[in-house]
Amino acid sequence: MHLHRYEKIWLMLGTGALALFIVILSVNAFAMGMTPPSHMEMIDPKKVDQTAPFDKPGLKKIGPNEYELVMVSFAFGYQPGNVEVPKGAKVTFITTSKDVVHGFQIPGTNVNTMVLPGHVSKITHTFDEPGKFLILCNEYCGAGHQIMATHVIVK
Amino acid sequence: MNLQSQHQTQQKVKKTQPKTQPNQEPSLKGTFISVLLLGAFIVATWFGVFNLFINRG
Repeated sequence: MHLHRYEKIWLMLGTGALALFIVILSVNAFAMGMTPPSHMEMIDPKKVDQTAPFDKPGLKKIGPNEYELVMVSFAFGYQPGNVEVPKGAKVTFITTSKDVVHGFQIPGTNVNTMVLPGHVSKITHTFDEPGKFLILCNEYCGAGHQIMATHVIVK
Repeated sequence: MNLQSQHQTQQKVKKTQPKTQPNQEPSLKGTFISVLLLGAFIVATWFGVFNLFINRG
């Protein structure tokens, strides 16, 4: 097949760009652990209150300035609410839903995941700046959707 | 159709074919520049979004 010289150049550039994107994303995912929020773990949504770790929701210290925050999402709120962590804390949010599909987003950060009943969503964020960070539901979940929010206070 | 008449038809076809000028390619300069501009736009927006993701982490 005959190709024009320019066609060869732009096909090479396009293929090269795709290869570059894939290499960058692969390095990010496999070497630096920057993957999308996990939805791999399953749970019986009817027995959330009896299933570990959701039987004892709350903040748990797992290392030097490293925390796990187990949160239950329900219509219309998060349990526990208004959690305090020190500045620089690396927090892994572990959440699931007791009823319908909810959202879990901290605006201005990469924390943004769907919370599906029957699935466990995990997402990690490091809070380098002090402040009051809003956690909100961004999936319409019912009549009280607009009040479904809580805060992470970083001191 | 015998072999001779077949040969004659082939010659006829050859004669009626339009004359093509070999080695004359269409100019793709404008297309090339457009493709490069579009490519630059895609690459720039991709890195823009990627940068946003990295800085928010």
